[in-house]
Amino acid sequence: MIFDILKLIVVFPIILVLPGIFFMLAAFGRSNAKISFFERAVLTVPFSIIIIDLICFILNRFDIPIKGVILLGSIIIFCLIGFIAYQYRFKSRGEKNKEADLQPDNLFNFSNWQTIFILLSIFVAVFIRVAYLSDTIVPSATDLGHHMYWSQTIIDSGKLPVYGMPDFIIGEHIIFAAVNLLSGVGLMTAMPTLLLLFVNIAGIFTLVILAARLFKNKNITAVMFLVAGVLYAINAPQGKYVSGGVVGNIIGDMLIPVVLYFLYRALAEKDSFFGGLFLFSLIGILYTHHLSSFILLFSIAGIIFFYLAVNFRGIFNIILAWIKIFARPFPIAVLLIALIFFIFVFMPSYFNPSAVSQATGAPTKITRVGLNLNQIEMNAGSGRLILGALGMLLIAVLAWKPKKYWISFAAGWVIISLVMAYKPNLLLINIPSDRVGNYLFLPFSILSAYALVKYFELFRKSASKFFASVLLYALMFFIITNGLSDSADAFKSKNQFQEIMETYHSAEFLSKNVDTSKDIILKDHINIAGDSFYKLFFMKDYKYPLSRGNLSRYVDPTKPREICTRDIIDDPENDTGKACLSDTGVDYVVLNAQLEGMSFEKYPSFSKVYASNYISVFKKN
Amino acid sequence: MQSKIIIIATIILFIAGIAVLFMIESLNHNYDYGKSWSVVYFSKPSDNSADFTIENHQGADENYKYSYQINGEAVSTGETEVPAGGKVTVAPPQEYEMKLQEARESVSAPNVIVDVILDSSEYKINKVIRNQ
Repeated sequence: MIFDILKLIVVFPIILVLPGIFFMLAAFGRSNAKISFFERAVLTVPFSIIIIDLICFILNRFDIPIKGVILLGSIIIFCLIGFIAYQYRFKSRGEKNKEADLQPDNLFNFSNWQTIFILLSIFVAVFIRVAYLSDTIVPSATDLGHHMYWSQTIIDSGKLPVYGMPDFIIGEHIIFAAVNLLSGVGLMTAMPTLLLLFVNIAGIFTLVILAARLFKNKNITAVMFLVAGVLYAINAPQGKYVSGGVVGNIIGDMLIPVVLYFLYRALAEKDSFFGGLFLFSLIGILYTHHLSSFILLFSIAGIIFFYLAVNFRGIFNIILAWIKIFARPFPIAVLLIALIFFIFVFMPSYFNPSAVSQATGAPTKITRVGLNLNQIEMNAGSGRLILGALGMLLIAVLAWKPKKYWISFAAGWVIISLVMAYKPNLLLINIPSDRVGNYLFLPFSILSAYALVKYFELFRKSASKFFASVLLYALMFFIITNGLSDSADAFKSKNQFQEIMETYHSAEFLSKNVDTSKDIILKDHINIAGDSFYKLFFMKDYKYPLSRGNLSRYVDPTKPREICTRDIIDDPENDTGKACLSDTGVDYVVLNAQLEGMSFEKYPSFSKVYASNYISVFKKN
Repeated sequence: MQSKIIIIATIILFIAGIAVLFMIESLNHNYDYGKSWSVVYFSKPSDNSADFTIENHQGADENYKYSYQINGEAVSTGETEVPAGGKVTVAPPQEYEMKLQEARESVSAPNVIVDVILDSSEYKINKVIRNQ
């Protein structure tokens, strides 16, 4: 156990930090006025994840097996290339002295009090997450089980999987396989959750550097740690998504601020190098998560349209200026390389007309017609929603300078996110609205931090200190109590470790005793904890064993669904059940011993061959 | 300097978090640690063998009582001590084969039931024995 922890402490930086360090070195040298140490440190994590993905794509393209030694060698080669690029760009050209003279701006030189506030916020943010995860750390979450199956196929085969379905994106799986290949720490351990926790914490920092660049106010930067890291630290898409293994969202939430960070800097500073990095990070997210990419593209469009709308008179000059930024060698080179990657190296599985048409157009299900205000409040968090609205008001009243890009990034992002969540039909978005709502916290966090600091500044200058103080403390009391209410629940939860281990035991029993080439297993997903990890015991096929899913999934107005997995468990001896047994060839049924397992005992066509307190396994006679 | 302190403090906190969570997972990713359950299963569920296994994950040594029945008729009873975290495989008694043959005269595929009892918990498994 101690050895495994040490291995993770060594391997996490190799996978999640080292490639990014050398990428940043090649991009910005050792010290650069354009970017501070803090930003470089934060950006190493997202760039490392993107680079590891790209390395695996190249290995796979040339049929080089993705194995531990090869991956480590590839990372070392990448680092060498990065170092050579750094030498060429910053040393050979005599920029050494110039480079040393450049001092990055002081956006991140915090005062002692700001530093203490930030450290406290980070401590609480990490503590709440660790406390919550301590009750869910044994792998059991449904999404995590599904994703780990694909990561295990990479580990076992040394190749990237062919999914055959647009539901999964390769960038969600490579990183887990990479850590396993280098450390040997298995996927059915705490490792995947710890990796997601790392990415989740890195996501707080990426949001912070975006806010720092937008507002250029160190107080707002410091408050961002509280708003993004501490408030609603457990609610989706934070702690619950880490433990739930919602991989794409967690990585997407880290990458979206990075893409917008570079876009903002490219536009605001008219810097084509940042424009190229914007495109590079955008490509990274395209390979990582379709929903995050979809939301991001709409967010960018919303920001751009907002800026053009509020600067309508100068629209042609603005567009001309943008063209000048992006029609430069570096952004064009990034685009061309991306094109080559897409066509010749690896195309994301969802890049096809049917997947695009499924996600666009008029909403086809009740779950896609938008969220009501209560649901929006739950997704963003009441406190954040109120602060976000206050932030919008303060920007409109006190800081309205339409030519400033930060206005469009802060306000345009919130507006487009709200439209996507509240009235998706206006934008012809046809994806589950609650998933869209999970991204509301990003722009609302930024506006909330702005609102908190500006509100405080405003009332410090007010004539009546008494009323100012009462209002401020009332607001802070509400924000803190509301924002921490979900975290309080984290300490009351009860773990399901025994149930999960009984599920694992039944899977182990079956994996040793069934012939997977002919025996078909049907398990229940509704009432069995950790069942999605069943497939990792067999590693036969993504859809092996069969599973009875949530009942709502069987009723789909857009397309007919198979119903036999439901009907067999419902009653295997009525006509429908018998027909289903014949069609599917099910030999074993795995059920919760206290629920369906009790009723299944009465069916003479099945024998109960395995009985524990929690799980019953039935074999067809 | 402060920004370096923030990054370093975050790394230290994360490493501490990793260590704590990994240890909690490793301890609990175990059939016995902090748990109280038992399991009974046929050692070879897909053939006609009536051998069964009892695994004890109750946290202490336990004495399990069991009985064999064929078509609801008691064949034999017994008990076995299973150490904490251990397992014991029980083979059917000598009279089992004879009783099975007798049952086959009336039913082509007799139903063998193994009933294991620990305190108030009952673990019942069964198997239909067919001619092979």
